[in-house]
Amino acid sequence: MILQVVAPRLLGPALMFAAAIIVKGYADVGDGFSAGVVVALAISLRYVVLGPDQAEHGLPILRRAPVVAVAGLLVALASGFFPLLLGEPPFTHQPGPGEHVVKIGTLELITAVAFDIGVFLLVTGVLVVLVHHLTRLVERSQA
Amino acid sequence: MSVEDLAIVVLLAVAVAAALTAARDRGRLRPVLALAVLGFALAAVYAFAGAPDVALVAVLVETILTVVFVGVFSRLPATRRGVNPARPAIPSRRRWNLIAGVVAGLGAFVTIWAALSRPTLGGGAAKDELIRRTPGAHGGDVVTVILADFRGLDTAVEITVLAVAVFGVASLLRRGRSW
Repeated sequence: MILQVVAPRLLGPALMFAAAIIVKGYADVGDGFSAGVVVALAISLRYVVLGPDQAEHGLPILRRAPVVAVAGLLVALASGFFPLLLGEPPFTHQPGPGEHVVKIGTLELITAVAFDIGVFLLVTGVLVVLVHHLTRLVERSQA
Repeated sequence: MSVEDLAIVVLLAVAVAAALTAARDRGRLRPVLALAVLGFALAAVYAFAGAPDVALVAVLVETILTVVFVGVFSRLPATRRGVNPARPAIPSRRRWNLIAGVVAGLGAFVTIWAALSRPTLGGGAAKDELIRRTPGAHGGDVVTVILADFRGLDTAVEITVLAVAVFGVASLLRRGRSW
């Protein structure tokens, strides 16, 4: 009963927490991977409590999890390998050492953060795909 | 022995007890939960040992791994009275199992002991170098900077492997379809 109330409402705070982990990741503990697992845990609670059909009915974007995973992978690879176009080694992040960085609070607009966001999307998408298949299997074996 | 050392010793004792439970228990849910306890105890040890990044990732991974483990185990065929059909006790092999286990355990112990006893050569110059360069990469946390910048190519290939692995698992479970 408590879980049925908590499970659908936990996603908002989890997303906020994940955003905080990514934003402060460059200055403090945490990175895109941890943020992705936090969101995936909130979503998997939803799957376990509501079952796959109802979980995805209330939040149709969950059905796009494979797309999110692939998009994350492409964002990460693109932000890693774009320096090749400029004739530099891969993972030469912009702006370089000592150059000026645009800051929004703690968030620094550098390409390494784009890479981290790619990792976040990939990890979230991949884990949601996994939980989707496992909860479907469990439901079918009980039916 | 300081308070922190005492806490680490207690946590390691919990980890040992959990590992023994996971290895000896013939049920299904209990070994999985014991593995989770083992993971959380080790995560707390990392936190005490000054590695908060590793501790955070360990806690998160351990949690999601327990969920996945339970999901997979619930698909295994039912067993009679908790007897595991995949691991029948063959009496003639028991002695050899014991010997093999003791030899493997002693080998692992000696290897880890030797590796941990060996003093670091050159006082960890690479570590200092990485910490000195971290502000140049516009970062404060050396672990994140290593993952996303200094060793970014490693991370990129690792996450590619992760994506390929999960789509492989998905298409195995769904006979060729990924969703």
